[in-house]
Amino acid sequence: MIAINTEAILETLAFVATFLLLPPLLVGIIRKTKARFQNRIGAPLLQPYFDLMKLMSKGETISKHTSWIFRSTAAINVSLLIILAFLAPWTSLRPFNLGADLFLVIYLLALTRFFTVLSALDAGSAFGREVTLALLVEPAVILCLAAIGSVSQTSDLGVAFSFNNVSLINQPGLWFIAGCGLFLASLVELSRMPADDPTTHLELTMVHEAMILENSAANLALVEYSHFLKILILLGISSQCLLHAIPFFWHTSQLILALASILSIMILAASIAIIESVAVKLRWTKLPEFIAYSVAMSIFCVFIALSKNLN
Amino acid sequence: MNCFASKWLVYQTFFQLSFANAPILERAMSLAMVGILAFVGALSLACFTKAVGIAFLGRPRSNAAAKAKESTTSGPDGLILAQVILAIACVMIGTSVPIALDGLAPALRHLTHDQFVIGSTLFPIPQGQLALVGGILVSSIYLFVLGGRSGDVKSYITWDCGFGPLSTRAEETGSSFSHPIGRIFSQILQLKVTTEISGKDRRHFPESVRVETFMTPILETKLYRPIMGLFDWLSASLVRLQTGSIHIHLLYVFLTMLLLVFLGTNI
Repeated sequence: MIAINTEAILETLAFVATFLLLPPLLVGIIRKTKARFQNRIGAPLLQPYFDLMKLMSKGETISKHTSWIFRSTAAINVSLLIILAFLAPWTSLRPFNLGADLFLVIYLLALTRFFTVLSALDAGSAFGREVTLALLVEPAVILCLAAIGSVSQTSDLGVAFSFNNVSLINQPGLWFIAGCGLFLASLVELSRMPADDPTTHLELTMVHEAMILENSAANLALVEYSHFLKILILLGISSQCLLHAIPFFWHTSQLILALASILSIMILAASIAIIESVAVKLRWTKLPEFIAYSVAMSIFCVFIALSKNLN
Repeated sequence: MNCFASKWLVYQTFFQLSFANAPILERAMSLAMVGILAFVGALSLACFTKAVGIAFLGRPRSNAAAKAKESTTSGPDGLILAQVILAIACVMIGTSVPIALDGLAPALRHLTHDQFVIGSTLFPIPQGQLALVGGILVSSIYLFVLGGRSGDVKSYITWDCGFGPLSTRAEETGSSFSHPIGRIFSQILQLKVTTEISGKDRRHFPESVRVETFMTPILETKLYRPIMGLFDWLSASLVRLQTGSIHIHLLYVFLTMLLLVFLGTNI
């Protein structure tokens, strides 16, 4: 049994509060930064919260061609991502160590995508392109994480990402490249700019937005929230990699680390907005070239991991 | 779930090899295998999504499909029951992987010559508990967030981009689902799209539009098919040697004997 003391309860509360409340704020940050880049004042930072609340009180419209899968997908995805939030090492403050196996994390992510695509197909709509993107980035994500795991000699990401793992302490290169590779991969995985324009209203170019066209009201709120949670988790993992690259954070207190990890997620969100402001959406056939950067970084990680274990 | 367990074991094998005390080439190969497996995993995700989504979801594409039922001549209950039993077996194995692995342990001990292999410790992920927690979460979210308001759910047609109701032909089909993948891997899949537009002033007011897509997987047509053809040809021509006739068989025996006698006398 877990020993009950005030510190543990506080940590748990802080953790749950973070993963419940932070995701919409991240999207707020992205939208605000983009607005400032376009010389607009933009919606307030807390607008995504208001949007979610508004959606919760709306009446729902669903397509008459759907089955039960369509309505349960949102609930399934939110719960899968909540489980992931407890497992994956997206922040340095993890009150529970549940054993976040690398491949389990990746496959849970894949499962959410499976259900999202199914719900889109269920409505009989003509969109469902997201799987192709996933196909291309999957090797990069797995290889980056596997390289880190290989150096720390465990596939448990919770152990590999904890700040007292001696085998990873002097590997800023590995951590930095893995962080960048994962960040690029998550841009694609989250359907952000070079792969997909999240603000487009042209069905022909939509990727993620096209799949949630049929959702409305509370259902849409859940879908949006699960997407926000996914942003939090994926950005969290890459920001953790980048934090590990800075030697300072290895010798500092838990509190600073926790604050730094939240701050770094916000910085990454802002940098997504900057990328989206200066980059254009790539043509479908050009995407593999972009993903190749991410794959190349993951291969570098693998080389570093191989040479680390040489002696 | 049982599939994930077996896949996890394969991944884990390669992953463990990558930091084991092995030659560098083997370790590099093992990480490369992890990458390839990840790619295959994502491909199979696309494949399963396609199989489930296209076959079971969406609208029926023809009248015949709309009225499809299980065959009445072979006992519909039996057909469904068999699938249910298989599904239950999958879930059972998936939630009790350690027990299943314990059953396999004797074979593993024999193969690895390692007396200390314990099946139940090979797979540490509590899949059953995870599935349980997930199930509880899903149903509670469904009940509290979505279920309470099923009163004010309106039903309407699928979004049609403003063109009027979509016909079933506009739905995602098997080939359109895999089209983007074909586009990206057009080097090895040889995707060709031909469009024919006919009619007066055909640019803006076409009378009929005809689009055809061809996908010729280059590996299959240019590499595997010739090899398979070679074997087909070989077996077809070899079968002439042995047609099952006892006379020809005796002739072979006689000729071989002659050859042996000839060789024996001359060498």
